Amino acid sequence: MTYRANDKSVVDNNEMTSCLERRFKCCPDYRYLSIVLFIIVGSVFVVLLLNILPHLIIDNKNFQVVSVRAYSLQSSIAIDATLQLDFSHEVIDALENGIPLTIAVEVQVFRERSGWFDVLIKESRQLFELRYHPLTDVHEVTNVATNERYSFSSRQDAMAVLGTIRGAYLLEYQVLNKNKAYFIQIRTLLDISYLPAELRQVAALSSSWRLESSWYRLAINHRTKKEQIE
Amino acid sequence: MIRLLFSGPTAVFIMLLMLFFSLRMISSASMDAEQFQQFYYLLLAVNLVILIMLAFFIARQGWRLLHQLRQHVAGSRLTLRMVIIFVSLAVLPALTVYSFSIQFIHRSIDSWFDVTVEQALEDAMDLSRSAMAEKKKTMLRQIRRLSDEILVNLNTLPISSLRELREKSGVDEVTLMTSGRRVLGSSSIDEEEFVPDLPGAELLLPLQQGRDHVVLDLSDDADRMIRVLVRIPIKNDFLVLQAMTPLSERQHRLAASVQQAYSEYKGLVYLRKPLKLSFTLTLSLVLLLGVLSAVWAAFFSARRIAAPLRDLAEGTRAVAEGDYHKPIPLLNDDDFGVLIQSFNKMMRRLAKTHNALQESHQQAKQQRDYLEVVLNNLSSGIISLSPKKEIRTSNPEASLILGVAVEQYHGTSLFQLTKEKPELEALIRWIMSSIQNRVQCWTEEVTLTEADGAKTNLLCRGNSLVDGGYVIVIENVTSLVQAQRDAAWGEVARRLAHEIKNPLTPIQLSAERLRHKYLKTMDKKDAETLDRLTATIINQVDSMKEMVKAFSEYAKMPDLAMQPLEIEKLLLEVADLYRSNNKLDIQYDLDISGTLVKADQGRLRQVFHNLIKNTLEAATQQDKIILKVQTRLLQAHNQFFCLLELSDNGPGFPEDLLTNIFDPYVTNKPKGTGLGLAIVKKIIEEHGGSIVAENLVRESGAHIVIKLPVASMLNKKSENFEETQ
Repeated sequence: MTYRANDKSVVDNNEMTSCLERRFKCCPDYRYLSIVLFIIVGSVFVVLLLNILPHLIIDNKNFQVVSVRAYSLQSSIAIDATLQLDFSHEVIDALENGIPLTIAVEVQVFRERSGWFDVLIKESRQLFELRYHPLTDVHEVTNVATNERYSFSSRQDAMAVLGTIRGAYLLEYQVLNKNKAYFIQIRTLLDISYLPAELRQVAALSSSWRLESSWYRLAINHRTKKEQIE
Repeated sequence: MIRLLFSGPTAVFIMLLMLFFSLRMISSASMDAEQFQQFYYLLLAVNLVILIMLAFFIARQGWRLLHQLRQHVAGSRLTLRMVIIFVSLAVLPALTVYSFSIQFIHRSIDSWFDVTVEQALEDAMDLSRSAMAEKKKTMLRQIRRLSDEILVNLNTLPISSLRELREKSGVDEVTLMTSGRRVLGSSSIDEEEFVPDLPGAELLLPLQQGRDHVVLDLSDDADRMIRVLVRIPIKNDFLVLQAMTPLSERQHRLAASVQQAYSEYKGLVYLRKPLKLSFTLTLSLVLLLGVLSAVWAAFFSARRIAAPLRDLAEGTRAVAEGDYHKPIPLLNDDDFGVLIQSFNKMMRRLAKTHNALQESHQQAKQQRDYLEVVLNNLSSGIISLSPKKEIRTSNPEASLILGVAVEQYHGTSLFQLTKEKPELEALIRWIMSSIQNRVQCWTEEVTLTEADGAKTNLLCRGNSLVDGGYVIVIENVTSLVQAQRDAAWGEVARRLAHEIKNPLTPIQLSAERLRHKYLKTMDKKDAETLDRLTATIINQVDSMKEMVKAFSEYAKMPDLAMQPLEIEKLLLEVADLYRSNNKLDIQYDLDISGTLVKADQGRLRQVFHNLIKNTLEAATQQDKIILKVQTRLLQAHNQFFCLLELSDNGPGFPEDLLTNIFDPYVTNKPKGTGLGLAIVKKIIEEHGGSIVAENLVRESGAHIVIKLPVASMLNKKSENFEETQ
């Protein structure tokens, strides 16, 4: 709408309002779309970063699951596992400076489903705290769940014991269905969330602290009780 | 609502809020161990994305500003200046606070630690270590000695002798066991309730590696025992001798205290670095957030402030380009709002003035057009001169009268017209001299002699204009003068006829009576004389009567009976009457058959008769008179004319009479009245035509051209004519 100068009712309020409307209506859809697009792109970025960020930081060479063996033990399935736990210099330095370290061993049992996500049947997480006593030169390992403590005269001994899992109870046979396929996966990691708060942020962003093994996967089947599974 | 939520500033504000809360959550998540693992990377990713998006927003704004600067958009320089100022105002203090905060944090954290305390703790630890080591060493030495004894008497040693060995060594408890922790024998100071305290499998690991081992557990729930484990090798295996002796409570407490204090202090010292790093990281993130928000806010504010300026500049440009119909939208009621209101008001007034101006311009144009139409339709030629005496305007009639396309000489001097028509020189010289003499108003009748000798009577009037220019009005009064002359001649003829005719009859009658009465009475000689004299009188009176009759006819021509007639046909009809004359040879070159002229047939017939008769009378000396009759069509000023040309091989017109040949009483014939050609001219002019008489140039002979306006054409001659033109 334009006005004629010889018209006496030039640019009244209505016309001014329409001018404003026109000004705001010039590209509203574009703005709206651009913001929605930003949110979508932003979300995609967040998801991507969530997947990429930890992998950029995590070091899965120092911690490794060397071997896992599952076998029947009475009415249940037990596992033996050998873990290789090597600390980085930064972690050893912290340990020797009195910072307790928490090592987690995670075991998950899945039922396989073809073409779809596998079903998690059981999940277990064992935490072990490693602490160094400078006066007695003792490395003490504590099972966080049971509060059992073990003293070692050297760190290597402590790590060797921590890395050796024998006859750990997994689950009862009856839980497994004969006609289904199952697998277990196991990993070990240095749990940085138990570190002192001051250290957590630095640890979260440093590969020297993000010590984490890859998942070790092992298939298990329903067999006779006495038979060794693998 | 949604649109409002996602419009530029709101979206950025929401992003900033999200960023702020996620930063807060990062700091709180790093405190809470359970949330840390779950949320840390999510928050980190969200933070990074928001920061990237914010940076993108800023980059977009920056790019837009750069583009506007390149395009020289109004307000862009102000925006840039304000952005720089705002950013400097926000970022410089933020950076200062940041650097001071970092320094302050580093110094504060460092101040927690004291070199003296650290040294004292180190010393205490060393002391404790050496004390413990000494104790352990002594015990180990003793137990090794025991183990040597046991090794020597391994096969014969009774279990009971373990008590002696224990008592000899002074320890509280001695146990001998296999490497598989099967007890072979034991002895304790407290014999009654003694159950051997077997070492854990992990404690035997050093022994398996061939090393003896002393264990001291200082934790609160420990048994405060020094446990010595010595390896006694046998064949392929080994036995384990464990001896245990308690640490005094005080020793235990002191050692535990030293260890705890040392560990905690070392831990603190160790955590100093990551703590600083954490603080720096958080502060840097906050600074980044602050700086980015400040930059964005600077862009936003600068843009908002400069927007009315840009609008104003656009409005001004629109006004400069003559567009008064773009009111600037009023966004705020602030100072700029007042300015914009004033501007809009000014623009409205300008528009009003502009429209009024346009209206008056339109009116002026209408008046000018009106005047031009009037001038174009005037029968007078009008030429206006500028103060520099250059032709400013002219109307078509002026060109027609002067015979020069005056409109092509606008902006030039009047004298330029003489280039095309030198005959005008006298006229123009006279006009210019009048102007030079600064005569305000003058009127003069001027006779313009054309190249062909024809004379045109012009009435020139001049008037000076207010601006120093002149307007010259030229009227062709030739017809008027001619008409006046004709009327005068007519009157003369009428009076002459009236005055002379009346006495002629009595004269003639008297002469006849004289003759009749006295002829018989006179003698022969006198009678002859009388007869001759009276006959002369009678003859002369007759001829006078004839002359008076001719005059009478000239004066009293009856009204014209106009009707369309084929001119060529009429001409042939008249010419045919002279075919019987062997002396006359008429040659035709006719081209306008079918062309109609509105005319009085009898009068035109008289014209042709007069002309042919004139030729015959004039060419008495020639044996053979050749009369060439030519007809053709002529177009002038959107009007068709037919041209009739008659030329003979006679002596032509006498040069001295040529200019007045059509006036009455102009003749070179002894018996002529001098009215023949005058009548011809009168008839032709009554028909709206013109006649020109001239002598042939290359050969002797008269040449008469008659121009008559065409009424219509029976065939398509005019179209053909136009095409050929």
